[in-house]
Amino acid sequence: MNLLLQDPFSVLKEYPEKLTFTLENPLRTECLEFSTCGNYLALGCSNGDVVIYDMDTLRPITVLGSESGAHVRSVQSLSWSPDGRYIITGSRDWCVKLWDLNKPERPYRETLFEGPIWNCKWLDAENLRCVATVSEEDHVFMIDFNHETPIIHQIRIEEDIESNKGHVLTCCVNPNFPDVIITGTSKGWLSLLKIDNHQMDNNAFTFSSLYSTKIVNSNIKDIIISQNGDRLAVNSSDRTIRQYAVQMSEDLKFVTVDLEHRYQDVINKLQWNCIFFSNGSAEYLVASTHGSSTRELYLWETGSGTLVRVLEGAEEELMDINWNFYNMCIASNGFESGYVYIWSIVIPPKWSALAPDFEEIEENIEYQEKEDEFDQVGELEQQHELIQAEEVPIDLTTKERYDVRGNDLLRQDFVIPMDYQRILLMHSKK
Amino acid sequence: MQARLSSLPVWCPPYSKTKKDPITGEDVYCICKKQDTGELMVGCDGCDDWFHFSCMRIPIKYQKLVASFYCPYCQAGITGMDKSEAEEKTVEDETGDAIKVRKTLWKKKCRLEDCYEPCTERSKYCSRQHGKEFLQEVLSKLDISGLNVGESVDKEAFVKTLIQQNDRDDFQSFIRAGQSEFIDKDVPKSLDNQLYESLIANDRKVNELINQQSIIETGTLPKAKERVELLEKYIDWISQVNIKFNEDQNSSGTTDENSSSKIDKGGKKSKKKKGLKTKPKKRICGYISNFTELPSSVDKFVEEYELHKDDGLTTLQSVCIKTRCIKHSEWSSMLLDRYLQEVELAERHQERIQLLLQTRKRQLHIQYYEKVTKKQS
Repeated sequence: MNLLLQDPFSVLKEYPEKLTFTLENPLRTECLEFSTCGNYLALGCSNGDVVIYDMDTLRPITVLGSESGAHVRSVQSLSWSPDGRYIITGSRDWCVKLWDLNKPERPYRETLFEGPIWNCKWLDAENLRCVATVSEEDHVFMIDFNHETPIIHQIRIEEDIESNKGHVLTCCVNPNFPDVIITGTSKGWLSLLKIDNHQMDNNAFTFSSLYSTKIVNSNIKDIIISQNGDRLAVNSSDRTIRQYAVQMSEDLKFVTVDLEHRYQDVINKLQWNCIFFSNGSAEYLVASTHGSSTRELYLWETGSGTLVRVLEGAEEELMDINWNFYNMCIASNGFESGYVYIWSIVIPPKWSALAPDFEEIEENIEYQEKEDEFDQVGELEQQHELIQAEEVPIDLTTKERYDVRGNDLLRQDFVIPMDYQRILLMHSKK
Repeated sequence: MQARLSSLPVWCPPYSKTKKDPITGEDVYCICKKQDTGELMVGCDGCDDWFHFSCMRIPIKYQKLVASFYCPYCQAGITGMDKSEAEEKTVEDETGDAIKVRKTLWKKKCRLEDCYEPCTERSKYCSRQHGKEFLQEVLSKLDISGLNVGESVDKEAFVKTLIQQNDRDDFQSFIRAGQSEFIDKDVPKSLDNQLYESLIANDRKVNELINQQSIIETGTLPKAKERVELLEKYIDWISQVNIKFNEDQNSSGTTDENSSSKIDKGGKKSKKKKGLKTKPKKRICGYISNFTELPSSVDKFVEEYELHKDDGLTTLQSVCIKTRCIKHSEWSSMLLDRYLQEVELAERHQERIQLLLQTRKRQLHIQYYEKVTKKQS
């Protein structure tokens, strides 16, 4: 239905409320992420396959590495490039692979580490750079996929080597300053690191520490940052999510990180599996809980720190979360079955909007004719009015730049090409 | 059974049991309940009664095409049901659904339009004569004016040349012309050498696929297989080292039982035997980044290990010697899986290329024949 004809209050809802679909992925889903515009959903599976679902038809359209080079152990982390053309995947088989969706049959580039990969994130998608954290390693790795054999840089800070901060478990990239990464370690250290690239030599990097503090006495499991880079949330194994306000000056000389809220499950004292921010300045935070007794996602307002919504409907413990802001869907995978649950906004059709003169009423009421309602107007006058109404120019061709939620409509996902060979193969097997 | 039966058609009066005329006492037949006047009738296979062609609304000219006939009452299940079910079932099994509903079956009619004779066996015509007539009719309708043949060319001769374009000038290859195997065969080059060169020999897609095929056959597949072998050799070496460790530790005679390899092909730890009072078995991780060449011999390695045991080293000859290594856990099985997957996928890819090659060749052959025919005519 046309957006203009819909109830503005339901269209503008800021978070999804209802479970609308369940993708029964036969391969157990371990992690998931929507493409930037929400047209596709990539699922990393426990057998190492990465399946991409089309969100219009809710059917799988491609499996990465069908010809060669698929992962052989479960996929731990995956990430789309902002233009939707590339995907990086990190797996328990020690590999980080870069996939070009124009040729999804085999990995575009790949690199091997000496341990299982925790997570991988894009650092600079245009130059095919990403960062990855590896099990039992004290440093974050930067991978430069721009070369035929990708170059791995260890982001090693001299002063960190003396102070034993534990293994790096997670990292994320600051969207405002794409050369600043935020890391969390097994001993509870939160660090902001800066990557400097010397323009003269493309492969020489120096790394410096901007900020480092011990925030907790246990593992930092996950760090997320809001789209505008002002908010940070840290999920640690002490059953608490800590939310911080981050302020950074332009020249990165001053960095302040202030604790805003802590989120805890006061009753069951459960651990949190995964956390995710809403778009823009991150007005909402959504989290999944550990343990088989809970099957919901919790949604807090970050300003006040109050729980505003519990997303129900799943039948099992939920793991990874991803929230797409173009189609306003939250997807989460179940722990037992590996199915993917998708919550979205259901907008009740308001058909009376098609004829603005009509009004929907609950009961019959006797119609009261208005004083001038059926008065005869001079024909000439009426004609004149009609002409005037027609003269207002209506622009039908220009596309709107932003949708109601401020998403950029000019941005478009890469369209995954149709795999005709596969259709041929399917026919041959019949 | 009842549900499957159709009801009586509109033109058919309800069933009556009358078999004899009440006045004259003569036998009456059909749905019209009249005496036999010599009009053509057909016997029902269900109830053994006789029915007029006209009453059954079957044109008389179809008389030779009836294979088995069931009257409307039998079709509706009113009569004929007293026949043993067993008999009916055997019929069902042979011919399937058609009989289950007791319908009149027909023989195939001759292809010639005005002929209502049934076809002879393994033929589309009632006789050779009609076959010839039919094809002549087809030939007369054939329009070859659009093929640039010129008015002078006889149609019959034209069709003959088409048939004779097969590599062997025999009837069997003509029969095969429409079948798919025919198009998969190599086309005769001699028909048009130039066209063959330009169309088939230099097709980019085919060459690309053949290229890919050879890469897999000579490169990917043997390499992957070799790696699997090397890795298996290394895993074997490591398990021997581990056996050695245990021998050294438990110098008593119990070692034999424990000496089964600790890293088997699947990489699963063989379970400790319960109840034996041996020390917990020692097993090094054994991870090495390059396994193509084995480190020094087992004995030497163990010796060296004993020497450096207390140095706090984590690697020896670039082999990870941690006894409890979480980081590299299950590395061997994972690597083996990866290489095996490579082999499997390469093999599968080979099949795929074969199929694509076949499809492409088929397309080209069809094009080739089409173009040749056009030129020749």
